[in-house]
Amino acid sequence: MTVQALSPFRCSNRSLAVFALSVFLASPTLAEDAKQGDRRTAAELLPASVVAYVEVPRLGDVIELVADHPLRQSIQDMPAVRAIGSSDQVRPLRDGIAAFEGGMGRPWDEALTVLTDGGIHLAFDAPTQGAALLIQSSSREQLERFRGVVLALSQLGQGNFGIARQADYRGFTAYALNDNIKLALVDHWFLMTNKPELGKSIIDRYLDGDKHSLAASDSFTAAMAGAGDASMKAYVDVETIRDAGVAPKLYAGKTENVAAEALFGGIVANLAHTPSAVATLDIDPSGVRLTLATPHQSEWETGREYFFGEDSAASAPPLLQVPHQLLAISTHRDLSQMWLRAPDLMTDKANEDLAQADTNLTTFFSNRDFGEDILGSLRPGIQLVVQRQSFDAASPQPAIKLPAFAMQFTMRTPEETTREFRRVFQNLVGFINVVGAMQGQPQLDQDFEQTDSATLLTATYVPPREEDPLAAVPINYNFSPTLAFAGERMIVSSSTQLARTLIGLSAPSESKVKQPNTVAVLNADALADTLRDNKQQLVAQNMLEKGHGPDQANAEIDVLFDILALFKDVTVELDVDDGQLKLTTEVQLQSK
Amino acid sequence: MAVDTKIDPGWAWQPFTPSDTQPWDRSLAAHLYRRAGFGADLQLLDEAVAKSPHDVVDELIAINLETSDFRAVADSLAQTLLAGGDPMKLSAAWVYRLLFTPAQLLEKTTLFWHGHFATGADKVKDAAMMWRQNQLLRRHALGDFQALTQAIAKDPAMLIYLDSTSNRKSHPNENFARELMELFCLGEGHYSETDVVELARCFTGWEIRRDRFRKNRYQHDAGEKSILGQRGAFDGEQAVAIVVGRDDMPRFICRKLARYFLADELELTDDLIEIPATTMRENNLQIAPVLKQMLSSNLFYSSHARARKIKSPVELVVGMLRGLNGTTNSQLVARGLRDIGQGLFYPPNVKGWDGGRAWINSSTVLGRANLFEAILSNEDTKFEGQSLTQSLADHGIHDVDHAIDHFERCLMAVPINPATRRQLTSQFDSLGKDHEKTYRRLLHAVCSLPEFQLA
Repeated sequence: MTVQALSPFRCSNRSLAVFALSVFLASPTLAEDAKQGDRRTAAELLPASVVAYVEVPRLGDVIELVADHPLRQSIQDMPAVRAIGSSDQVRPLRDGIAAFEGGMGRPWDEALTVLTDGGIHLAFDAPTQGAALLIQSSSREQLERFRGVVLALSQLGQGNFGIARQADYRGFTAYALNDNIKLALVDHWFLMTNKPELGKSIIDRYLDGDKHSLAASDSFTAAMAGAGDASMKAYVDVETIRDAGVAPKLYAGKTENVAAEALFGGIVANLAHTPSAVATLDIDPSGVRLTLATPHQSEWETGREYFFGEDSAASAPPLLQVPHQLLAISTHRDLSQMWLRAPDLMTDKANEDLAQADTNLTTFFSNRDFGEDILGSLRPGIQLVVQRQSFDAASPQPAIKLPAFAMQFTMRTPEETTREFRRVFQNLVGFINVVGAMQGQPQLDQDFEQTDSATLLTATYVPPREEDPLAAVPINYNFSPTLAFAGERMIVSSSTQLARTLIGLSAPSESKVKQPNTVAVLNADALADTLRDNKQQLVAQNMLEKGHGPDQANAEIDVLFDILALFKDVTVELDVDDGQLKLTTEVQLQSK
Repeated sequence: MAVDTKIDPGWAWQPFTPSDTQPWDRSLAAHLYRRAGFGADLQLLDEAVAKSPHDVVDELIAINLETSDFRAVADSLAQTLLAGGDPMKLSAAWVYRLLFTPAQLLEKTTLFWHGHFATGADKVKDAAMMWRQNQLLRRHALGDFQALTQAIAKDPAMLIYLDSTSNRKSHPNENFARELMELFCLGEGHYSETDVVELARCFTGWEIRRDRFRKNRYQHDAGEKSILGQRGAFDGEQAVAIVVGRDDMPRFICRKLARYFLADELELTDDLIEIPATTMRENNLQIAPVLKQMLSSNLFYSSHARARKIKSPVELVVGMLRGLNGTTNSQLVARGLRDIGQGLFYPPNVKGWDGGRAWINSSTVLGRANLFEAILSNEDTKFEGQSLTQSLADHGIHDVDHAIDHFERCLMAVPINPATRRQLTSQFDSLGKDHEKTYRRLLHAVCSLPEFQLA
């Protein structure tokens, strides 16, 4: 099913709602003189006190892109989509589209394209606490029809038919949808707001102009200048929101979660200072890209140099590339600095936990200070890779097949550090064996491999001695913990196979081109394959949670695979340079 | 609920013959399915009414094995969940089986043996072991009690639960020996402390190693023992055979079966119980003939048995869903059952569930209502694969009055009290805007009625 398949202009069914709307639209009360359109932007009509603004400049282009997209047919052909299209679940959507098309007098896509050819604009004004929707169209006739549709739908919803309450303001008629929401046509603008004073100020600005409009705001113009030709743009006045005391914890600068600090600490630090933020959404045939950008100054980094590097120069090492790669993350984080600065970055409770962990880890590392000596022996670049795991036919096949993962670090002084980490690895395996034996878990068998350029310390679970058709092979057999050293590189891997693959890769070289602070890539094919390896588990889960039979559960899980097959990868990139912090998320679609 | 009237054993176990005063109708068929299984939808009831009660019982007994298709699905579901190693998830797999099994009597009897040979996953902790025991109980559920007891005596989960993983000749472990006589076969007063000590010697050398049963011949006491009046150098198997072979055993088992299938508080005199006990003896300790006799009897269809049981949590929830062809989130049901006192794989102690009035107290009454609330507000709860509104509409039901009639027909062992019905009708006077929500609230109200707690 697609929305087009639901269109009454493409099929014969028309609901009663269409009839009701048509009758309503024929009402003479709708007649209104049209004035000439103007070329002003929505930002010129909105007050400078707007704190959030969203603009969709060309909805018609997006509709056309989706309609002509090569994947459209694949989606239409999905059994699940066809089933939903003919089900009662989407009847309200079908009725809604039918009502819209009946009211607009043309198919919904055409109607939306013409109706919004001057853009859709949504704004929130802080002083009035009002939201305003502004739609600009070249067609006054379509705007009038749309007004009729909105009023009719509102009256249908309230079961209160008749002529909507009206009021005039400076020659424009405002209609009340209910006690709060009013709408008006201001020549070629459709205006809807929940606060009359905001609506009036927009009409005043339309008639009289205003040099203090949103368009005249330096913060707004500076922020939106970089938004370019995006399919959707949004602006947030962070400073005003922050000063108003909204979400104070977000700007407090301290977190309870160590992982959250490592991942997002720099972004949160930026939010505590930035005056504004801009989001843009770019849609093209290859995919969707969402970019969030804020200004950035190095003096805002105090305490978080571990995240940004000196002078915001942090540059992540290149992404690791392995076959059947599911996920790769590369980032600049100086973990030692973060550990030592923890009292400034985290709450008291988190620091208590960290202090305890520090004591235990220091003991584990033979009284060498964990933050300074151990983490300090590693350079800031961290590379993580996750790989779909394949299992040798001769080895135990775990019932739940997890992907393998590995982290690669660069050691500052390998000749000193290697020995330390090797010993800790051996201790750790011994510890796991003792605890595992107490819990009846299988045991790890340690081994050692030496190649020309690398040393591997491996630990492999001893295979079960007897085959039991009822016993599922435990999840443990996904793991063969391995520590590998290759020159300055240290690899900590969940599987020996992945470690072997990684030591075969070349060491990261110093790049003259500045890399992003953080980059992550998730591959949809490998994700689908990993899930497919565990399809039986997913089906069982579906049967238990939804009460489905096996066929129905299989069909529902297949929908998941069908959806994943539409995607190629997802990339997230954090860039900090040119006075800007930019977080980009890009979803790439398969080409067909 | 106790019935004082003395029951004539001769009449009680005679096969029931429908009459003008007590015709074989939906109501009696529903009674049979509530007891021999967990409930039936209208279609199954109508199919049953078209046959004789004896034929229906014969069919229920005959399905003493699940169909291979269903067994394959249910087993593979459980097998898949074993990978996670969580017995609670396994409990959800059993709920799935209870909801969809075509072999209702087999599953109901498996649940009976789970309470009889009670073993708790909270102590055993190993999901695979619990699953193996569950399969064992299902395999023998309607079969030979001797074989079942011999198998359970060597079941790793049972021996771990009774702290009997190691039994040396220098220190015989009396736990299993005592429970074999007291809880599993004979009952209190039918053995002496000496019997316990002597019986324990027979099981020396029986132990669990690497999750498997084995006999350690070096630790077996091969000397002569005296058990329940018999002397000899008995080993474990011979000891079980001696206990199971006691004349008291069929009476003990038949009493428990009668309380489970017929009535919670029936006065089961020796005279009354001797007849099914004899049936058990005459059929080489097979369970199926005993159940056939009980479920076909005058007693079963009489006022002594009808609506004379308080539904267990499993009967309560699975019964509602099976009665209305409902499906839901099995994990939610599994957790809910545990909350209201009948966690599958989690019996409270080695005595199993007491049943009867013990199911109901101020906490579980509220818990029962809350569990129905959770199930009926869950978006995965469907009836005949659709909304309750649509399911009722398929039966030609479009208003509250008819919905109450339908729920009464499908779910209740006794009619809804007229005053309660008036109250329900006025409470849910109109369906309002959201029919689905109103019907579900109505069903919740019906399932929370005292009448609905009776089976």
